[in-house]
Amino acid sequence: MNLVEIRDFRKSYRLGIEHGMKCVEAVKSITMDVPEGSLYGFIGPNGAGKTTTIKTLMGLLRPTSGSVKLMGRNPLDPASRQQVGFQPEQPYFYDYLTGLELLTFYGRLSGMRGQELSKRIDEACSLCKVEPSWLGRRLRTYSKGMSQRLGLAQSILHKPKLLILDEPMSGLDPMGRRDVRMAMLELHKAGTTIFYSSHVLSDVEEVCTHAAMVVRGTLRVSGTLNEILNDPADPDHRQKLEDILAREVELA
Amino acid sequence: MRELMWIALSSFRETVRDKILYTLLFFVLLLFGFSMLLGEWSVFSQQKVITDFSLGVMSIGGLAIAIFIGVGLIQKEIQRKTILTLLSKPVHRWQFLVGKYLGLVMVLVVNILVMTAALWLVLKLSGFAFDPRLLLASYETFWEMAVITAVALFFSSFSTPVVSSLLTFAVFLASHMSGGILQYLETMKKAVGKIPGATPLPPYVEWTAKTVRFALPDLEIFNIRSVVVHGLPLPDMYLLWSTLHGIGWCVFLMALSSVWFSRRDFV
Repeated sequence: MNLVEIRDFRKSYRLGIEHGMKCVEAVKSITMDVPEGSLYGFIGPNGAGKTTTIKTLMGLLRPTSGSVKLMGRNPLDPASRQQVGFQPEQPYFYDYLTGLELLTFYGRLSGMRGQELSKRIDEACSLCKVEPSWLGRRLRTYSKGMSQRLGLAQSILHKPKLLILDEPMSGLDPMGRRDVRMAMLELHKAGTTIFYSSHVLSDVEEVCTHAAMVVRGTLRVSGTLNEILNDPADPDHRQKLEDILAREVELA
Repeated sequence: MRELMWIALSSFRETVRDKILYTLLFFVLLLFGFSMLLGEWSVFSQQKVITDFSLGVMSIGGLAIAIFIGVGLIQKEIQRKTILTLLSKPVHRWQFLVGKYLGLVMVLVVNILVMTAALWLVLKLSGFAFDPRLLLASYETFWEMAVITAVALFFSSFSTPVVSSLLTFAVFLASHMSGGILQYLETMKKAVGKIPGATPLPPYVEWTAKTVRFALPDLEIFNIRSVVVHGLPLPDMYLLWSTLHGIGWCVFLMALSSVWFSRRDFV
């Protein structure tokens, strides 16, 4: 079963008056599926259309044409997000709330209450290495790394079936990156399907079961990691994602 | 409905911890203190001057809160990208918008209570009794604030903070003045009829004034300051009608904002 289905997706924006109301095509053509149980890496250079695709999946943008389905539904329907966790790129939170207040607020919005919510907050914080002492602090005092970890914790509070992460490792130090990678692997092992965008190709090669490569708004490569990395011309030769990306950027 | 309540509570918590609210409240309370001096200097009844001036300050303070906090309420979420995480939860966009609004309305209730308590204190310090009818004026000021905040939220659902602030201020002025302008035009029309050779005003002037009068909420309906200050009677059912007027405009504006908001892209 596919948890995400994208068909002929195209998204264009109209720039403001100061830019002469010009139309910019952020995504030209993407068709792909994210199968249940996969750990899916979504890669491409800056400005390729990764964040636009992810935001459309989360119902934050409307597709200009084509169809996008999340858990079999239109992403604009809140029910499609019931079993989905999301962490945006560089998550920002409410300055004047504490970490605990924020997690409680998001947990309640995801339908959790009382003891169950407290238990899940503890579990999510432990998995994302959010220290209990941080939870009483106002969010404006959090460092980037702390916010990133809290962002991951809020996205898994309700044990989502599908986790969508936009650059979850951006801004993290090597230890932080390792912790996030470990948390993702643990969640995947527990049955969570993960779809995440990343610039760190070595991470994708190391942990993902599937990958998709988007260049200048067009999907260039997608499939299981084995299909992508195995060189059809030479079955004994395993290619590197970095080389494939460089080649696709040149061709695009 | 629970989602609405959680968003409102979180919005309330976030707003009451914002320094700008206390800055505005501080200035309002400072002006209340100033009303004591004004009362002493005035040739009119000191009590009337204090109450009239303080109730006017309450209304202006409400406008300031609507502009500085109401306009920023949604814009801040968009600019700081906190909206991305919130809208990724299973909530409708209208629930987000209405929840934020209700959170601010809760802040308005607290503000009105604080300002009314401050008015009581100012009157007590000046040696006057607190007329219970002042509570009615506070109640009406609350509705005025609630409507103008809904106006601010409506504009901020599709335009920039600066434009939203200017438009909200324009609506505040126009809706307070449109009734008076219509009365003035009516008087002019009668006067022109009696003066031979006088040119009547072009019909579009009256048409424009009437359109503004009926297209905007009538904020003057919430202004019962002079009635309360001068001890005049309120017409029967006045509070009920003004409350319905307030509720009607708040619901209408939030519905309109929700339609706009649901079509927006969050880039």
